[in-house]
Amino acid sequence: MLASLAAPALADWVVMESGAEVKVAKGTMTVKPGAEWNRSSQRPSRRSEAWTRDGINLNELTFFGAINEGESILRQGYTTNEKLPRFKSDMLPTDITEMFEATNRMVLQSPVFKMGKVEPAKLGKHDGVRFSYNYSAQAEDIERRGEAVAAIVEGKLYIVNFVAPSLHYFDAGIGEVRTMVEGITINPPKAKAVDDGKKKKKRKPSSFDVMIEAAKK
Amino acid sequence: MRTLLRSLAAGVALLTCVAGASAMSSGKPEYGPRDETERGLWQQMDEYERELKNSEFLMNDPALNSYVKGVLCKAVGAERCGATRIYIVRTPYYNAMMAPNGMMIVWSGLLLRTRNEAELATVLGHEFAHFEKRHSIQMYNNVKSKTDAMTWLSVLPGGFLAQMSLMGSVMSFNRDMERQADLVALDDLARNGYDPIAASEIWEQLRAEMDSTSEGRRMRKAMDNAGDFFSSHPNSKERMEYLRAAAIGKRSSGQTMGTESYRRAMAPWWPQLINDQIKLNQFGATEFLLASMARGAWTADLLYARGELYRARGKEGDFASAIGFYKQAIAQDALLAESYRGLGVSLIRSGSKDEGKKALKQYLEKRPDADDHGIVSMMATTS
Repeated sequence: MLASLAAPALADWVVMESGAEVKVAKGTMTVKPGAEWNRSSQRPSRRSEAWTRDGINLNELTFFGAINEGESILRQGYTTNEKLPRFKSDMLPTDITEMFEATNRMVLQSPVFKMGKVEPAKLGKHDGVRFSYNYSAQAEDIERRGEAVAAIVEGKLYIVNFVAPSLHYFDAGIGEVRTMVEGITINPPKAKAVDDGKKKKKRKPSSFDVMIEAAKK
Repeated sequence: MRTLLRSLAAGVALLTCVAGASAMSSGKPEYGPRDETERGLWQQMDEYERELKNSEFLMNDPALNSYVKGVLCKAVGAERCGATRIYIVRTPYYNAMMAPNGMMIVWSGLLLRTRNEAELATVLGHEFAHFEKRHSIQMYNNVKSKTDAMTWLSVLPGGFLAQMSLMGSVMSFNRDMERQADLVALDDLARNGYDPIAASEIWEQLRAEMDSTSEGRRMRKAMDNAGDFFSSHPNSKERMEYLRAAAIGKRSSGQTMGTESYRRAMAPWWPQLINDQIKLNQFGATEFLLASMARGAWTADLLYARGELYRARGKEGDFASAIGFYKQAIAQDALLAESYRGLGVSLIRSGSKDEGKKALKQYLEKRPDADDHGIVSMMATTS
């Protein structure tokens, strides 16, 4: 969903080796890729990370880990329009897919977004929902397909989302992604870790920050 | 970047072009380009038009397109409408614009807002009048005299749809031009069998929507960003008054609003149009829009839409409101399957699990082939 938003030229990439277990989305999930992937240094949101094999425009795998009550899937900054929909822990599976769809329509500024099959699925060993969709973004001439699996675990939302052009790249990549999703382990963060996150967000600028700001001027 | 490069290339072509109007432009001399500058502008527009033809956003259903074109042709006469080509673009905002080469673009949000043929004819006729009176050419020459028009055309940011709408706002017409287009369109409408009172009614409604929208937090900004119609069309009280006054003298018994034929033509599209609007997540604007469409008579479709709107927001009390709307919708039309779905989800979310599951099962019975059958079955049995 971020293919048209991210600026890959500015991202740093780290290779994810095939067959090696790796923690993703700030340690909230553990996966074992069956092929070599590249992890972007640019996060679509505070709680996510994006991988690609051939470039973010050709295949994009995003892990969203431990989205809290009241948080949106993507950063609010992606849209200047209305507030993005927020996660609530009592959401039903169809609410999750609707929130996902609304978020994408708003961020992509595109009504050309169609939800396909929505069915029960496992994210690792947790009950969840799998949904497929396709869309076009305004600045592009191509149709993309996506498939995501989402689950609520201990009141937090986890989503693994794969997007690629409908032509060739989706079919070429989805098989390996499905295998990876089946084997995923979710590591719900301890309460303390969440508090740390909040503190970091609110922290006042240190004297070091002030020095750097001064040096910029 | 690709789009920018393309525009630059078109700009270069424009500078060197000495050929006549391209095949895509109307061959009618009275609508064709009159000098080299205009030919350049035509060519630029033809380029946009070629791109538009391949857009994933184009709603190219033949029946819908022929209906909308038919409304324009009825409003301005078959002779004159032949110079235009209408493209319906799936964008849930209100806009219609016309390029000097005869390409008219109608955003799907317009079709949701107009309530009858006469209102649609008002807007299409208004844009056609700008075209026929060559207003955009005049504005283009004004812009060109102030700045380098080639640069101007080349640097418009965003995808080409964004460029088109931005262009619309750059080429905003002056007050005299707006008034001329209004009155020409009103004359055409009245002469060709539409009730001219529709003109003041549709502009009035859009003005009220704009007011309700700007009350919503950050909403005005969002609409400006979308290159929406209001940024280029001043919609004053004075305008309503002169339109109403002009209409009164031109009303006659043979004229029609075309409400029923409009409703029939839009029926297959209505669920998509309202869904696109609801998913903008603009609660205030959508609530206003639904109420103005209902005009006090809430149909099953509108009640369902209102239920969806409240359920999507999901604030305190919203599920209870949504349940009420879905139940009223079902009372009017028991076949509206999606109402059972919304009702079931809202009931479960507000604590009435058994009743909610029952509603979900009713949805599944009515929509055995629904894409979400698998997950809703699970929700109806286990949640």
